[in-house]
Amino acid sequence: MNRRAIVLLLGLFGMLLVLPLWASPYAISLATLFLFFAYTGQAWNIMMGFAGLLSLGHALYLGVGAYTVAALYYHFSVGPWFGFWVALAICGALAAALAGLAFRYRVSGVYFALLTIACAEFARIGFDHFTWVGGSGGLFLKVVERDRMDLLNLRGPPAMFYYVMLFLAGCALVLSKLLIRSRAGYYWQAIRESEDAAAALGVNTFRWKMLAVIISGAMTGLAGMFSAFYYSNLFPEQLFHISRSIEIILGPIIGGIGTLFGPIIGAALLTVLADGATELVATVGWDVPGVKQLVYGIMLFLIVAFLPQGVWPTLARKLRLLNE
Amino acid sequence: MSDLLAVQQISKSFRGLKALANVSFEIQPNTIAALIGPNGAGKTTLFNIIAGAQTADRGAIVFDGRRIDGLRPDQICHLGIARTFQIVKTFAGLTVLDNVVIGALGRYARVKEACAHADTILEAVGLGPKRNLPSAMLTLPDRKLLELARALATRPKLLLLDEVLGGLRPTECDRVLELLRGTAEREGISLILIEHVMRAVMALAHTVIVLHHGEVIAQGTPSDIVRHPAVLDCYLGAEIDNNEPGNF
Repeated sequence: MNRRAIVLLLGLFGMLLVLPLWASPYAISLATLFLFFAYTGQAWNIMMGFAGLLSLGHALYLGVGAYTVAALYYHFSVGPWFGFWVALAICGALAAALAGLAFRYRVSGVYFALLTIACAEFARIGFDHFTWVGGSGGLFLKVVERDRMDLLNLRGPPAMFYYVMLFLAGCALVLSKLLIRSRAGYYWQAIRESEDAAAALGVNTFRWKMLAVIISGAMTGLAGMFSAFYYSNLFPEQLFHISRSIEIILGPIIGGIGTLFGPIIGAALLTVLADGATELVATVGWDVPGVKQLVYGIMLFLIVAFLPQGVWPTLARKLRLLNE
Repeated sequence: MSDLLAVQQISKSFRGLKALANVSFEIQPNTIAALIGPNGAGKTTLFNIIAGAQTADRGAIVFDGRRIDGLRPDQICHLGIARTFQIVKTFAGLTVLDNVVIGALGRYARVKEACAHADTILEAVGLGPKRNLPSAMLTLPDRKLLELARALATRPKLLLLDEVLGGLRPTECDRVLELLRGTAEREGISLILIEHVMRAVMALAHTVIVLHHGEVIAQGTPSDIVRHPAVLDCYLGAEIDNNEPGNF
């Protein structure tokens, strides 16, 4: 990154910071969604982009994180900021258990990806029958006055949720930046490029792969916590559904896997285009269900065909944002 | 002086196919040894077993006075054995410098120190000017040099080089030979080379071990080996039996 890039980044961040002051509620909700996918994309990118571990089941952590915090709040009146830590711990432990077993029995590549899908589906079916948290009928958190801001209980106007998500997305970017230039980042990339060579150079591949999965899973769990309090209702069919997992990974794929800004740009393109198309179709008066999915499909097709590295590397070159 | 490496009666089969049978030899400190033999003799398998990438069916490996068979590759690397791969496994998506930094990180607590160490090694092997290139852009000889640099960055006591000279032009070959000899002497590193370039073996090795069908059929100084009847028979060929090792 050079000075141009830093000025641009600060400018964009400044715009995001003041956005709720002038934007319509619709724009705020759209921007919140964008930040949500920027955050989850960043989390997924740590596993896939940095360490080369393909997860197609990140909905698992999203759902478990959401249900953990929501159940604590619903049954024990435990505030979300305490639930935050519990979700972090439970999702981290879940990730450790899943990855530990997979790596111990040398499940890798496509089979590892299949395993992540299986675990998410398993959780979806399990939570469908988990009546303590509502089962397939869903869990509903009490909605209070939307205008009264109660940050402690994550209850308040959309702008509050927007800022919470902006904060989380910002933290995820900073964390990724710190990680990639640390020992872990070097080791993850080595494992991604050649696990044998990494091991021969003294890298304990098991331990570092575990770390990537745990960080990624725990981060995604926090997105679940946000999701639970933002929507105030939780359904296994939605939270654990494979389409959630796909939505999480589309951003980084379109923006650029393994890059710091790819997940953010991908998330922005996806939310704006998908919602733009939905709005457009609604305005015209057509009744086309699944416009969003159609847009996702077309974008994915275009990226795979013309920009397999993602949008960010090309964009950065065109705008001369990187030091050469 | 005690052995740096002792390979003791190592045997290994792949689904009934014998790759190594009762292989034993010792390597002294500050030695350059060459491991030669026809294709399929088990040379690379032996390297994989020493480095921990594969496990032997039977036998033991003692390095620096301690058993290392059964340890993981990364543990063996930390004890002081580094290797290069016959089919190069450079980290293609990373820069030349970052490739070497990953090797150096095992010996330094801070990334910055590892980078500095990696830079000096890149200068030494002559890849300094290419440090910021993506390693996928390097030529094959350069990628072999990069593997060497990466292995050296782990500060090994013993370096296993699997056909590091293969595919190099003669002038490059000489330069790498000088580099290997210089580094080995300066840093007190022992080398085991798998090599088909006999000119290099003759020039560099103090001792030569000949593998054939998974067995050690001869071991000795280069000049002994080129006269050894069994070696001539199976590997070097009869036509070079003219007492002139320079002809290889």
